[in-house]
Amino acid sequence: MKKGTRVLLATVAALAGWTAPALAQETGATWNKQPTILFGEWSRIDVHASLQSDYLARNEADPDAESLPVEDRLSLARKRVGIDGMLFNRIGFQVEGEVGDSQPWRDVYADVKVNRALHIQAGRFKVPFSLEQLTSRTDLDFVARASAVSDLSPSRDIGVMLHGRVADRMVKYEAGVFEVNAANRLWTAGAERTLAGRVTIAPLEDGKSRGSDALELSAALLRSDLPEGRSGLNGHLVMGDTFFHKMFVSGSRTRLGTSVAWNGHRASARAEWIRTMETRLGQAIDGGDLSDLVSSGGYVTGIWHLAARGHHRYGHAPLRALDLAARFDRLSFGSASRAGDAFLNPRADRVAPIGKDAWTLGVNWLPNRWVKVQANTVREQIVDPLALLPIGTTPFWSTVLRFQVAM
Amino acid sequence: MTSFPSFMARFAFALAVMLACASAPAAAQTQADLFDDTTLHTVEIVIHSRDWSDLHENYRTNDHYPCDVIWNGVRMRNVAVRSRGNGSRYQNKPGLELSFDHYASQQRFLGLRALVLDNLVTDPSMIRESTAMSLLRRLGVPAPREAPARVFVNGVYAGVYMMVEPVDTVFAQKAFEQPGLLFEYRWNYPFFATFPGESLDPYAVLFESRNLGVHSAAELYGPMRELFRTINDAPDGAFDQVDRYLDLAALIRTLGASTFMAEWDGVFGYAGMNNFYLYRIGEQAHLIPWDRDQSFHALDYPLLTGVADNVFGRRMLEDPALRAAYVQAVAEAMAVAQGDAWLEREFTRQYTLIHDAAMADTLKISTNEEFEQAFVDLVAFARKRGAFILNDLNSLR
Repeated sequence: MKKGTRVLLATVAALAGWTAPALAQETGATWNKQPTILFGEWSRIDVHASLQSDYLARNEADPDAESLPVEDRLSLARKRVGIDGMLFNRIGFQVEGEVGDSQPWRDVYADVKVNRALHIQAGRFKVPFSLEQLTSRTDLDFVARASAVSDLSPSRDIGVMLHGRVADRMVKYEAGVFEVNAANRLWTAGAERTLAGRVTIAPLEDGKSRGSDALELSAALLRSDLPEGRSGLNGHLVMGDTFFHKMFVSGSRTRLGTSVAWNGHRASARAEWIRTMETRLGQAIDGGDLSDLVSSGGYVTGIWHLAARGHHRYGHAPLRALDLAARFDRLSFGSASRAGDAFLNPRADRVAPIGKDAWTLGVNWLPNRWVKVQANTVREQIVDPLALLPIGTTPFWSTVLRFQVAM
Repeated sequence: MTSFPSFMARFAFALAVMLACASAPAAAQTQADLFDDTTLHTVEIVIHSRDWSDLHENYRTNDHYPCDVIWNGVRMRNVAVRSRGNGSRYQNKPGLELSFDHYASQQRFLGLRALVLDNLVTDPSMIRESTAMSLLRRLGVPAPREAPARVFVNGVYAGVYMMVEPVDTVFAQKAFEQPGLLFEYRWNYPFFATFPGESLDPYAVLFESRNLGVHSAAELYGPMRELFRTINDAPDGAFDQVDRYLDLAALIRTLGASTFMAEWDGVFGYAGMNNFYLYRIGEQAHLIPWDRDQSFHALDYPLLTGVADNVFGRRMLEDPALRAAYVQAVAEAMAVAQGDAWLEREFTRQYTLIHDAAMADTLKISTNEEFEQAFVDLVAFARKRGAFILNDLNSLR
């Protein structure tokens, strides 16, 4: 077992065991969706674990995929354990990590509740930006996130964030500062930082007040210091191959994002759009400035809940949930400059337009609250109007089956 | 701080490049001009200073960096440059490959997808490989063209390099006039043409696919497996079955020339097979020589060194017809090299052409004295190799 995994498992176990007697008034344990340890009325710890296994049924991007034996088509996409909980009804926390990963830590943070309008969260957690990125991977409607989200959104970083709900829960805000570079910590002088802000408006009532998740509209803005280097954003196919490589950047990265989510009993719909601008100061081959690198993309998703009954989206076992899902997503790269010849080299002033369109069709089946089976087939097509990429623009298909157990 | 003489040198060079740009229209240039080996060319590379520094720092990697290249008044943009070579990787004077299609798959420079700038650090004379390739071409072997160049990077003299026509699908299709699949032999361990086995994996390690587009492992390496199976398992007296998978006549012509040139790092190399490409049309592969900087190793280098260690070489000598063809190939190479003292004149011509630039090349790995002595040794080789070889050759007939 790797050292990181040992530390992770020991930490999870120690936290669960150590906090119990110190807090116990009416200690007890329950098992609903996951094991929960209760410490009186105000404190609890939930133990989480999830396992995802993928089966690659088809991958036209790889000519050898057809001849792969079954054992090489199977992979363990995720083996995650963790705890979260609440102490004194005031301090929320989460510690979660990936078993077997050389960098096992995922969410590790504490969240102090001052009141409903003000929480202070600190540690390592997802930067508040994209709706889909903020959605747990076990709760996604597709096997993979949309390319615009996975390639343009930030993931987890170390930082401090204020968040809360105001205006009768109608408005949710998140604002934080995060470190860009682990070698230059957030609290050190001259550290490179990401400033993040996200606002969500939930105008509909859920019976008691506004803030229902039936309709949510969000907007987010991020600005990051961008150290000099070949660290621009890149683009990937769903199976991981890179179709747009990183460019040399320097200065700052600005991200804009908007999203809308509608959740009905029999259907749901979501859409998101992201645009990033990266400056490239002093990055021309002669040392001059290059025009901003511009990347943008988004998706539209529709989900039909076949198993819905009455006013509830869930049905009866073994069809607790059966969803049909469809998504169109687009990701494109280019530059602010429209002058001169367009190239794809990492110091090109005018970056040739390159993108990808993808259609994903899927079925999600939840026989019970712990198990989820997903089948996705994806049609991807490179958008390369100047015919610069060797892979061409012929559409290709891939199909993945996922089996997930999560508690 | 830049010294005044250094500044003046850069200014003069920049002025020369500008004048050249103004006077030489790009449309007038051809590949023949680029590989005109009667001229000492000038190549200017414009690259971000940090990239040039990184390329030196990471000279053992194949990382690509964007640059512009100026040659004979033609400025080529959107070019990728990387450090290259195996034993010739050298931090002070890195070998370079200019890729014209790395950032745009259809981009070409005078019809070329790439251009090699050989740093010449494994050869004190700097002219062994270009002369060897020239002799191979005179013998009708498809071999890369080469021409010497002074290379400047951001206006600073970076030394004498040899511009080498890369062996890629553009080269191979032109040489063989048919589409096919190209493989570069990769030296990973001493390999003497034994049968690597039924799995295709070892073939992919030994023969790197240099083909565009996607190809399955079976398409690429299935026939390669049959080639080595036949080399090892063809019945005695029927070794010419190999010809189905490998053009034996052309291969033996190349091997004979290499033997005359005392090439000790080729197909019959001292550490196993090395330095060649295979271009396969249908089932039959054709050998293309590469990296001949160890040619003319020693004038008394024995004729059959390394041949019997190699399964192909041993079985070739056991076959009377192939053995005779091999002897004939050596004799033919010797005749072409010595006719009208061609080899000595060629050494002298190339030495004279690069002499001043080589003496001014402070980044080369050898001293000026070693450069001069290497030329003296080559002249001796040209004059005496034939006499030495005749003895061995007669015993083989």
